[in-house]
Amino acid sequence: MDQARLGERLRVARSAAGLTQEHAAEKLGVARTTLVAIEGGDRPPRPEELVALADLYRVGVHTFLRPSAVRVDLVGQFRRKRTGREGKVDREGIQALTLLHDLAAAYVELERRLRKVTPIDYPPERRIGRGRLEQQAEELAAELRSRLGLGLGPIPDLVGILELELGLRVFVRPLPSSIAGVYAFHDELGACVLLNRRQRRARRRWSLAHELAHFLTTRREPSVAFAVVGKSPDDVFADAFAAAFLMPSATVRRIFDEYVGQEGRFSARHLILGAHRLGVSLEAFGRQLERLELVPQGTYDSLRDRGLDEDAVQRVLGTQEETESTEPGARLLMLAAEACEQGLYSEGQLADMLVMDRVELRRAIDAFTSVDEVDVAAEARA
Amino acid sequence: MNGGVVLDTSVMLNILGSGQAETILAALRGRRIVIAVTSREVVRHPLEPQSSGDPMAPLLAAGLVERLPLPAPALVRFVELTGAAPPDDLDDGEAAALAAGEALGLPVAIDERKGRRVAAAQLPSVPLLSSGAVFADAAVGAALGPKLVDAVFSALVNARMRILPEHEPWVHTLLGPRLAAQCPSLRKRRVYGGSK
Repeated sequence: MDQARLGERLRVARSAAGLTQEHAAEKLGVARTTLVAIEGGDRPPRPEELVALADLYRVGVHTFLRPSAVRVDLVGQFRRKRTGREGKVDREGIQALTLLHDLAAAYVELERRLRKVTPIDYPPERRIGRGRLEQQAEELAAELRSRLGLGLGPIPDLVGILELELGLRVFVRPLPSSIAGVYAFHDELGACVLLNRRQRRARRRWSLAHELAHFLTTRREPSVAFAVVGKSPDDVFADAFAAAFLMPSATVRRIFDEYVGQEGRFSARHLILGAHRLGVSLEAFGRQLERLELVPQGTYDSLRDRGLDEDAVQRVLGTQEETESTEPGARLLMLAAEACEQGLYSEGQLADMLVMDRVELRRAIDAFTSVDEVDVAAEARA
Repeated sequence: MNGGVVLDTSVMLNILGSGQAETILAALRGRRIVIAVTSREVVRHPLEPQSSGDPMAPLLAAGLVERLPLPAPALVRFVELTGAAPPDDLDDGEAAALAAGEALGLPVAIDERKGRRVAAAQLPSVPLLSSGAVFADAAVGAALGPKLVDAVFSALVNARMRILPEHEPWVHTLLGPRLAAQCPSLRKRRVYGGSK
């Protein structure tokens, strides 16, 4: 493969691994000038150097050498943007962004190899203007709902709608607990969101709506939504957007009136039912009720302090499967299954590209190459 | 398999998924080798997906399998295989297994269609085995006895073992139609742009 391209990929991988040229050269046992020459495309790495670099950067050799691999420097963009967060949290954010990059790059590569690239018409970016953030967030949420034809009702299949209607690439993988979601945009990769599989479905939906706000307002700035770290004004806006998009005021009022009309008073049970109906957390629904002054301020905290927890939720709702009607990344898995069946990629390559366990990938491929796809006519003839 | 065998990721996962890894590996004659690059792909035990430990650790400790670094003479071939132009490029694990098999003069047990196609074209001197061949091996059958059916069924269900066409009749006969119907990976698979 082209030496300059290989050198650039090695540089990007080193940056993602958080290593300087000095560190990497030292660990490799070569002079820094040698690494500079390799990354600059002036000298090809020897096989043993390539294997050692892949090991050091925790990237497969095949990923470096694959001619069709898409690699862009999202991490560099994020490093330039970040504002003072250091240490473990920052490292975890960069790792999550690297994972998002790899997944989005795999998606694009599969689309290209299978000639299934879908042209995407993104809605125009809307910068946050002067005035109250909350009001702007509500207006933007209402505009988007209107564009998507959602009316005011709950959005049961948020992932499906955003993937199909807006062309967002949505992935769900286990992430450190400090991270709720990651968003990035690049001309080559499109708009992509990575959600934390370790979080409950309602929390993931919130994170997705939050990242959607970044997509709509600060599209070209990568964002990592941290669960605990203080929020920037962009994040405050994104949370207000998420609340308005998932729980329009009119809908929350209607649900409240319906419940109170039935029983005359609002109870913890109603909070659970309402949150479930809208697909949001108890806290999100409780805060929205407080914001709309439908219940007194502090109601949610008081209920929580009195024992409102997941056990109470289970008593009201029973044990329900926490799944979206559209599994996030279903189209990606379908592309992977097709690529595997065509012999374009091996199972190992796909597991590496999609950052999936091999057996998990086999199950996914089985699901998309079911007996239903057998040529029925041929079967009948046989 | 008398002189030994180099195991690719897919085959190692199927052996683990059988629930009879110790007996199967002990029954195979000669060295049972997994290259370090390949073993990094064996991340989760198919029967214990929640466990975070190295799924191969007990097998390595018992000396039932050897984990070797990629032999130096195999490095150039490894880079050739991983860097080949698509659709002949291979991932690290399978490229390492094939390159090591060539360097060590041992057969390679590998199931993947693409890996086998590339190996047949580029490394014709390397004999290829498969998961089906391992389970159908007479010594493995003798060691497992009546547990062979459960082992194959478990590998098919829990590890979604792929079976090459030449071993399909053996598997169907072994399992019988009732068990075979419960194995999603035994379903007839659509081959895009061609016939099965």
